Amino acid sequence: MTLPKIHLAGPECLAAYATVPISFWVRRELAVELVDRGLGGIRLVEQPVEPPYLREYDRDETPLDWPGSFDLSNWAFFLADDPEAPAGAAAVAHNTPGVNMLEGRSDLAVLWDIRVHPDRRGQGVGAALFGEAVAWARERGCTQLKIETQTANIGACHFYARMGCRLGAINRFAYAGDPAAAEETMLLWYLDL
Amino acid sequence: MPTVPDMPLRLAGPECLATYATVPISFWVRRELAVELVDGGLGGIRLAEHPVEPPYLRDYDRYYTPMHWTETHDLNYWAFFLAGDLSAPVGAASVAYDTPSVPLLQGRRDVAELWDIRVHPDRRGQGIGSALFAAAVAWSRERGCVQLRIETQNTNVDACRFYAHKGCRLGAIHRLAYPLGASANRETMLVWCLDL
Repeated sequence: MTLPKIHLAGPECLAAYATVPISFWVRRELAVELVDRGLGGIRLVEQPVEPPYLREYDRDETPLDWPGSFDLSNWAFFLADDPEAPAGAAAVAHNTPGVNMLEGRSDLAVLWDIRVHPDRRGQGVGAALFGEAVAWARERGCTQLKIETQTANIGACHFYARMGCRLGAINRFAYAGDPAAAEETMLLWYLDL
Repeated sequence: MPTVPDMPLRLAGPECLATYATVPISFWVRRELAVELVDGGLGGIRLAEHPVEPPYLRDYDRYYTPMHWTETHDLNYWAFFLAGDLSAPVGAASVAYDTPSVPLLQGRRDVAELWDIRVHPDRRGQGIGSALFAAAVAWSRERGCVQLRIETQNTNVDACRFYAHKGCRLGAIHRLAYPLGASANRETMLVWCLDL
C-alpha cells in the first residue's frame, strides 16, 4: 500500500473537498444503556441495526456551507492524493468565535470533518489525514484535539480509539431539538497532543 | 422520609437573592463517583462509588454566589423558591427558563434547568429538598416544559442519588467540561434529566 500524499489547502478547495462522499451504511451501532439509572454510568454496547440505513451528514450542511456559517481564516483543510479529485479530506477548526465546540479555548482544535471516498476506505487514507491534522494542531500550539461523532458511527469511534483518542463525553440529549438526529447520542473524543 | 408539616414554600423573583444566598450550599465530599473509561470509551463510561481521603468541603458559592447570577444571566424568566421563613429561609431552589445564555437549555423554550437547590445543613434529610424539587417540577410543567435538566458533578454523590430517586435519568457525562484549575482532581460534569 502506498501512503497517500496529503495537501494542505485553504477554503478555496471546498468545491473539490465536497466531492468526497461522507455517507456510510449504519449496520451496527453503539446502544446506550444506563447502569442503575445512571448512578453506575452509561454503557455502550455494539449491536446490529436492522434494517441498515444510509447516514448522510452532508444532507443538512455540506462543506460548501461552511464559508457562510464560519470565519474559516484559522481553519486548515487537507486533501488526499489528487487535490482536484481527492480520495479523502479533513478539516480542522481553531480559534474561531461562534464555534461552540472550541469552548473559547485557543489551546484546543476541533477535527471538524474527515471523510474518505468509499472506494478508498480501509487503505490508510483516514489515518494519513488524521496524522496531518494532529501535526497542524500541534504546530498551532494546541494541547488537545476534539472530535464529535455519534453512536451510529461505529467505524468512526473505532478509528478515533485506534488513533489514541479517549472518550470525553456522552450526551444523550445533545440533538434533542433536531428531529433528524433526536435519537442519536453525541460522543466527544479527545486526543492529548 | 419525614414529612415537612407547615413548611411554606414561596415563589419569588430575583429580589430575593440576597436572602437566598444566606442558605449554605457547601457539603463534605466523603465519597465520589470515580469515572472509568471502558475500553477507551468504546464500552462507555463507568461510574463507581469510592471513598475520598481525606474528605474535603465543596462550596459552589466560593467563587460564584447567587448574588452573581444577575451579572451573568437575564433572570427575567427564572423562578426562585424559598422554604420556611422568608427572611431566613432553610432551603431554596431556582429554575432557569427561556434564557439564551444558559447552555443546557439549548435555546429551547420547552426545557427548564434546575439551576440551584440548597438546604441549610441543620435541616438536611427532612424532606425540604423534595418539597423544593416538586415545586420546581410543577412550575416547569406549567410553562409547558417537556424536560427538566440538572447539572451536578461526580463529587456530589448525594445529589446524584437524590435526582435518581426523584425519577431523573443520567443524560450526559462530560469528563472535560470544567477547566483543570488549581486542583489536580478534575471534576466530571453529570447532567440529569427528568421527562415531565
